[in-house]
Amino acid sequence: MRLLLVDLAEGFWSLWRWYIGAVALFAVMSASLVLQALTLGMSLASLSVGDFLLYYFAGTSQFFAFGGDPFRLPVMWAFVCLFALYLVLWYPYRDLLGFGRAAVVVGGSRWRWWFAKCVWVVVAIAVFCLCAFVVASTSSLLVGGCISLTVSEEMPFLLGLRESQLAEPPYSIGSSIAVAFASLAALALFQLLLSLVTGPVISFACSISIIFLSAFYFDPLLIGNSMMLARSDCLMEGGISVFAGACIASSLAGASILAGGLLFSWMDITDKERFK
Amino acid sequence: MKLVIQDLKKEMKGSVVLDGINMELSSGEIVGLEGVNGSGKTMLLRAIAGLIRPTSGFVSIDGKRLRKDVPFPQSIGILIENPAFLESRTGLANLMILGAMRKATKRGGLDSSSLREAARDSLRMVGLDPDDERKYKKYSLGMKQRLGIAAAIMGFPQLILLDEPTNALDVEGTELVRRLILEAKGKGSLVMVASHDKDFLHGIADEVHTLREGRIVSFVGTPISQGGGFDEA
Repeated sequence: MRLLLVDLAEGFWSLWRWYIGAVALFAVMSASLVLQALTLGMSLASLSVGDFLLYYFAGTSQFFAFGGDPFRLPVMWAFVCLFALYLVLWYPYRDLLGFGRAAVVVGGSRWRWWFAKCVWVVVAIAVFCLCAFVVASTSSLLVGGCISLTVSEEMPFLLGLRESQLAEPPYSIGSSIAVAFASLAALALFQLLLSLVTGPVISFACSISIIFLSAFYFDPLLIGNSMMLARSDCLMEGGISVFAGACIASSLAGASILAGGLLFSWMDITDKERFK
Repeated sequence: MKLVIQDLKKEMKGSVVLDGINMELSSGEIVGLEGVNGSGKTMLLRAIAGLIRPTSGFVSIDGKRLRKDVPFPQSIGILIENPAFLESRTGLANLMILGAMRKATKRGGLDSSSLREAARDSLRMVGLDPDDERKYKKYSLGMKQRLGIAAAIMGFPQLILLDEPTNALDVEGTELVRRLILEAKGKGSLVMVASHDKDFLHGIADEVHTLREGRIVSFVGTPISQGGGFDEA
């Protein structure tokens, strides 16, 4: 518990600038949505919290390789996800090279260190998601919208989602956004596990690969699909259900925590944290 | 406390970094490890601290094998490689956090009432001001080294591992470290000191082991358990 409290304090002290950056990012995206809505003649009062959250975490419709349309990477969605994953990338690694090494030895437990870092990662991602929620709520209030997680019927068209794939309205994204956040946390835990083996740079490269592959392939096992609201069953016919997304996220998170704990119990702690 | 190292061998990236190390050490000893860079001094301390897993052989403390029976020594203070602490905290706060972790796991550490006093004492012993409000990130290299030593000796744990403790210290600081190590010995700690400073080691250690390419190639001194003191080989 002591180690966790230290992590929460120190980890967030090192991240406060990044959270300000996250707020700025979401604020810019909110402004972009408002401008697009005005351009399309939408009523700003119809922009709900759900609309803003969808804009941040929409992603893109399912891509068909032989469908004739070129593949377009959902750049903003990828940037938001990778921003969060980069935010939690370095602290555990630096801690193990520094104060954490002594803490592991005098504390007498590798598992305790590992669990503390896992909790820290999840909390850090949760705070990132909270930033998104706060900015979305504030933006909605500023434009006279409503505090609701139901998405306007015009939003899928504003986002350029494929009409043929759309589910029937209304689009209530409450459960789907929770799954998206949980999936982001699960991928962050997987990235943490990988960083024990490969170091932070390569683990982040793997996260980038997963994000890109998820955009290209529609497969629930590619966790990035659960992070895209456009591919959830609330918006997409045959999309990823809340149950499936939650199962995959919790499985990935659980497996990452367990595998990481076992690996960390076994590995050498040297100046370069490499699996031997 | 009895520390036994038996046929300890460690391979990393295809290289043998420790090769057949054997030692039997007891409380109240000062053991020096000398050798050039890359000779295996730090790696040996890491093995004793439980940070690395031997390829073969073992380290045991009071009959319990590290990495098998226990993950780490029960009562230990370490200064291995560069000291690293929480940059946003003062020296005192850093020591209290480490001390509380030791206390929290009930590893023969300090109780709550004496933790602050022990941390303050440790800082005074290394020549740092316990009331200094400066954060660790403002410390000079010498101050950081002193804080690292303070953390290692705080409460005089049974086993103290010091890797190049005189780095970044002036003559006064080096003398202070020497006195602290002798005081730790007097309180029953087993102190292992790795250093390339032969004069420093031979001035305080009961026995000095010279490492080269992961092996002990020479030994100077008589183990205190056999009733001897420092002697030329």
